[in-house]
This record gives sequence, structure tokens and C-alpha cells, in this order.
Amino acid sequence: MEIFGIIWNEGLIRPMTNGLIILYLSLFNNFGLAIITFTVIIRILTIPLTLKQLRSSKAMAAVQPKVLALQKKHGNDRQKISQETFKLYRESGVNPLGCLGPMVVQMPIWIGLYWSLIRALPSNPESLAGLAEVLYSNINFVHSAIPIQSGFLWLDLAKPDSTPILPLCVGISMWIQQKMMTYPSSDPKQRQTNQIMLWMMPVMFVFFTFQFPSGLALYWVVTNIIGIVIQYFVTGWGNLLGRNAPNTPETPENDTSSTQVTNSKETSSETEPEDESKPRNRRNDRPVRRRGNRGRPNTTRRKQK
Amino acid sequence: MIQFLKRIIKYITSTTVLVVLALLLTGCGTNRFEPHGWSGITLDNNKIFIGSGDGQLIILGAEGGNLIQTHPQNKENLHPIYSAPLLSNNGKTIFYGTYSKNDGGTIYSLQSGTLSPNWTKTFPGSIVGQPVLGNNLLIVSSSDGKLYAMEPETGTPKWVFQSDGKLWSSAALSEENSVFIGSLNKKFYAINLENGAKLWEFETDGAIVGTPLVNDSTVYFGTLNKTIHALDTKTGSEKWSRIGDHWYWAPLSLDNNVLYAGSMGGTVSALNLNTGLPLWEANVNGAILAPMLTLESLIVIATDEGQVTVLRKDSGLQTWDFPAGDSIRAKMANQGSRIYLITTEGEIKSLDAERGTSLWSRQRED
Repeated sequence: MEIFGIIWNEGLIRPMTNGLIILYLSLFNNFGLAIITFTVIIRILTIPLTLKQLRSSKAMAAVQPKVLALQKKHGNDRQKISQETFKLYRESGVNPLGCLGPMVVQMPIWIGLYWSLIRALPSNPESLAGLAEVLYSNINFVHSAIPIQSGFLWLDLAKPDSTPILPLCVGISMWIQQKMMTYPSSDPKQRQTNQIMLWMMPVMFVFFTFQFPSGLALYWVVTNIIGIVIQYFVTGWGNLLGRNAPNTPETPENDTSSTQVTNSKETSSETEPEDESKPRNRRNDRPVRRRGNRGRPNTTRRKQK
Repeated sequence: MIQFLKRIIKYITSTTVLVVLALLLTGCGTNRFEPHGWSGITLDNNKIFIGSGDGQLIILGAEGGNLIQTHPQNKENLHPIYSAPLLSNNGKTIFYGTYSKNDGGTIYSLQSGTLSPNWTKTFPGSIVGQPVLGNNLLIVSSSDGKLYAMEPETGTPKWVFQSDGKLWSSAALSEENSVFIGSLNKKFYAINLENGAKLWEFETDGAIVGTPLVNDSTVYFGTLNKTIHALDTKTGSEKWSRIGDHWYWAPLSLDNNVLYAGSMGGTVSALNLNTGLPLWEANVNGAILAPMLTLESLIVIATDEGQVTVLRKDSGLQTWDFPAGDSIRAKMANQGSRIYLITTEGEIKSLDAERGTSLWSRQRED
């Protein structure tokens, strides 16, 4: 437990808090700008992970019709469904947990930011004394920044926003991002889950924003906006402007037999059918292998209606 | 429909549990960043006066730590106390202030014998620094950035001085009827004790938490930017400054024309009063937040690591040290060769200053 504490403090909290304070000093003693810049830097550093997550989600969505077909084919035989689904994922080069990795990486960042904000914006003598332990004693100028001015626009970044403006910004930006990220599904269960996630996450984060320091909420808003921009460049507006659900294969046999998938820049519903006989020497036409596809989106070949 | 509701409940539960657990687990030990207060010790007539973390005034016997009185009996709606209680010159009145982030700070005036209240006064800002008495005025610094002067008998306001930042330190008074105080907003002020008018201000490069020290025509204070300043009391011009190794939170101490400074880096410096040049330096285990205690030939330093170290004033050589167990941030007191201290966990200890042995200890009843 002590080792965990040392790793947490030395590896995350201290660099993050000192980094935020250096940004604060560099940006006209404005902690709001420091948080925004910090968020942009974090998002730039995690772009490879974000792209991986987006592509993984896209690939998952692409194989959903086949999964559904498998479920239909095997009825209540859960073991068989599991085996076949796993096989399908493997052959399609899709990792069902692929989208979790970036989330796992981002979780410590925003939890660390939460504690860095609490440390950097002390509200009582105990927390100010605690800040002394976090600052690097050999970087002299960070000490001159104390106490940090926590005002930014109408906000006190150390306290929750007293108006509904920031919670609404968090909720709306999160909803837009969720909506863009949600891939239409022909599976009713999946559609239901998507709907829950689409509304549940923004609503919960609106609730959190009323409780947590507004500095953290500012991070959420900025990270959501950057997420929306990245998502736009990868998939366009996606489901935000309406996107049809991918078609369910007519017969399960067709789907399970054609487990080859192709990389495509388009979503599965937009993919043109391809002729097996065509040479697939183009970069995006190569059959996907589990190794070497570098996380590019995969779409299954389907029979067009 | 039921299945749909079940799924919603599952998602809410799992997301909430995940977020709350993550925040709680990663925030292990952050309870120490919540305001609990660290009231120092005031000694009078063989009695120890301390404030508790839940806002009670506690009086103990100095001989064995026996509980004599508490106030109030009902602990509801009380707030932590940071400073040591203040006794009036005639010993008949006790003053102390409380800290509340939401409700502001309250100053209590009690009769020292019966602990019956004379008056109470609530301010928008919390009280961290100890109130001080001078020129028949009670001077109270507050987190709302104001310095209040009031009649000690009634609490009637006489004047208010508005500073630029939170005031967490106590004020220091000079014989020329000036009040000196530093703010968290890096400014140091000299104020006329008669009417609260600003005499001068000095801008530093660090927040000021420690109580200033006035000697002759010079006022000394440390900042959180590792610097000690010596200013002329009349003009505010700087006589000298010295950069140390870490934050100066604890007030400076003066004895026999030597200035003693303890930093949060655990360095104790004995400085020439006129030049700021070090006579000797010593290191102790832990950050120094508690005011140092000067005895006849010794200086007592208590640290945030819970270590009590006693050094010789002339050389800085260690005489003894004592592990108190928990962090010490509050003002210590002594009666002859007996030292009294309190840890942040509320354990009160009496030590023999000659030998460094424990005479008694008891847990404050919070």
C-alpha cells in the first residue's frame, strides 16, 4: 500500500501539480488557462490511444451484425455463442477490450487531476501545509505562485460551480461525444444499452459537476470538446446527424463463413460490397490479421440487400 | 420493462461505485487535508488552555493533565480551533476563535473562572491566527481579509482594516502603536493601532502565514517563498532579506539578539539580527510549522513528523530528541523546565526539558 502511495504521489500527483503550477505561472497567473492547456497537452499525448479506442469501437460495431447472426443461429446455446463470437472476433482482428485500454489510461489522469486541483488550490491550513510536500523544493519559482488565484471567468475553480452553466456544458459536450461515438446497432439489446449510455453518462457527470471542484469540470468540458474534434476527423459527425444501423445478414451461414474483414475508412453501413476475386493489394483492402493491422478499423463483408 | 430498469440500475450503480471508489482509494490519507484545527497551548496558573478539533475549549491541570473544565458542553454546531486561546492580562477573560469554511469564524469571550460567555461575535471569514490584545483593543485577523479591532469587554467594533488577501497569521504590535500583519496575498501591512489606517505596505514574493516578530525598530517575518524579511517598522523599507531552503510557516523567535527561524525543510537557522547572516544551522526531522520554544539555554523544535528536538541555543548542537508519535503543528508552552505540547491527533504531552523524558500524556477529549 505504501509503494502504491509512493508511485501515485511521485509518478502522478507531484508532476501533475507542479506542471499545473508552472503552466499557471506561464499563462498570466490564470489557473483556468493552465487547466485548459494541460488538458490539450494530455489529449495530444494520448491521441494514439484515442485513435485506437475509436477504431476499436468502430471495428466492434462492424462485426455486430455477425454476432447477432450467431446469436440467432445458436439460440440458447450460450457456450456455443461465446465460442463462435470469440472465434469471430479473433478472425476479424477485433479486440473486444480494445476500447477499454485508453479509458483505463485516462482514469488515473483525471483522478490525479482531481487530487492535484485539491492540492494546488488549498482552502484550509491543513491543505496548504500539504501542498508544501508536493511542490518540488528545487524548482524555486513554483513556490512564488502560492497561493494560486482560483478565479476563472465566473468560477472559483476550487469549488463547484454555483450556476448550472458548467454542469450543462459538461452534460451537453459529453452527450454530443457519446452520440458521435455510438454506432447504430441492429441488436435491440445493444441499441438499448447504447441509449442508456448515451443519456446515463452525461446525466451522471452533470451530477458530479455539481459536487466536484469546477476546475475538474473545466477539464471535462475541454477534454470532451477535443474528443468531439478528434472524433469528427476520424468518423465525421457519425451518429450525431443520424446513421443507419448496420444490416443484419440474411443468413447466418453467409456471415459465419465470411469472417474475413476489410479495413475501411467508412463505417460498416457505408461499406460497399467487394468482390472476393478482386486483388486486395491496396493498403485498406488487405485481409485483416490480428497482428499488423495497427488498430485500423475493420468492417465485415456483408451481403447487400 | 423490468429488464430495462434493471440495466439502468446496473449502469448507475457500477459507474457510481467505480468513480467513488477510484476517488476514495486514490485519496487515501487525504483526511489530513480536511480542517481539523491545531490549537496551541496557553499556560496560566498551573492550568493548560487548549482548543479542540471540534471547537471546545478545554482546561487541564498542568501537573498531571487532569480535566478541569470544558466549554461548551454541547458539541453541536462547533468548529475547529487553530490558534491557542488568549488570556487577558488580568487572567480573567479567555478569547479564542473558530474556523468554519461555510459559516465563517466566531470569536468567543469567556470568563476564565466559570467559562460563562461574555460575548461572541461571528465574522464572514474563518479565524486561524490567535487574537491579540493591545491598547485596550482586541485585534482579530480573519480569512475574509479583514483585521478587526474591538473592545475586549463588549466586542464592540472600533475599526476594520481591509487587506488584499486572507489573513491567517496573528497580528504583531509595536510599542509605537502599530499593528503588523502579513496576508496570503503576499503583502505585509503596517496599520495604525488607534484608527486602523494603513501606515505602509510591503509587497513580497511569497504568501505570509507566520506571525511577524517586532524588535526595536525592525519587524521580521518569513514567507512561503523561502525568504525571511527584515523591515523598518516606521517606513517599511527593507533592511535585509535572506533566502532559506523551504517555506517559513512557523513564526520567527528571538532570544538574546539572535533570530531563530525554522523552515518546512526542517532547517533551523540562528541568524544575526542586524544582517540576517547565519550563526549556525541545524537540521531536524520534518517540516517545522509549530512556533519554536526558547528556554534558558535551549531551543525546542517540534516537527510535522512528530519529532521533538532540543538544540543548544549557542551552537545548534542537539541535546536530546523525543518521538511524539504524531505531527506537531501547534504552539508549545513551558513552565520552568516542563514543556507542554499537543499533537494533531489531540495527544497532550508534558516533557522534562532537561532530560527529554515524558512526564505525562493524555488524549484530548474531542
